[in-house]
Amino acid sequence: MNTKPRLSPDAAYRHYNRNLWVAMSLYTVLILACVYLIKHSNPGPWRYLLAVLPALPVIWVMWSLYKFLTRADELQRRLHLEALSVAAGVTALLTLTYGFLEDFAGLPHIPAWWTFVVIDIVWGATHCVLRNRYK
Amino acid sequence: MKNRVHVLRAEKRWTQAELAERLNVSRQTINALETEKYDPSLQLAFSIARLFDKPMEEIFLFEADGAPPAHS
Repeated sequence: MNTKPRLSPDAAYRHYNRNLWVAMSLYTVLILACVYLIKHSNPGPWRYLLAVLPALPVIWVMWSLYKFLTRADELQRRLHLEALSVAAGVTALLTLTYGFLEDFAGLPHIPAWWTFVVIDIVWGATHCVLRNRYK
Repeated sequence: MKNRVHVLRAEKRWTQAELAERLNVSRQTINALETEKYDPSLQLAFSIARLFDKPMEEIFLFEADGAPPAHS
């Protein structure tokens, strides 16, 4: 069992926010470093390692989010879960539709990592709208 | 649902943050409760009743007891 005192929902949110900023800064640094190294090096198997390295801080973000949601109160949890559901649905619909447009209508290819960007934008925007409803 | 959380908190002279801490919820949730935009779970409603040492019916007013809600 965890012996540390349980963080209050407000403290848990501040903790999550801080982790998010640190992790995303680390992510930015890693992305820039990996792109630089991949451009200025010969192809080799270690490129696989460089390519997946920026995903590590994202794992940290996911873990922090999970911890926050377990410490959040009922309203915070509801807002995030609703926003995440909308984000999952919208992202699935957009990626599916664009995938078909690519395959059948010859639209230019978009890299898969855009899924991450779309899900985050829709999640953030939906959360803002939902949160304002309770203000 | 109508409630008297704002009045009861004012009687105790607690800030929203203080009440939030006592109930282990966020300040945002206290605000949503006081503005009657959010109905608490049964568990949170019991915690509020216990904290103010009042029966639930003196804090929360079920709309069917007064005027019927417009949407039903």
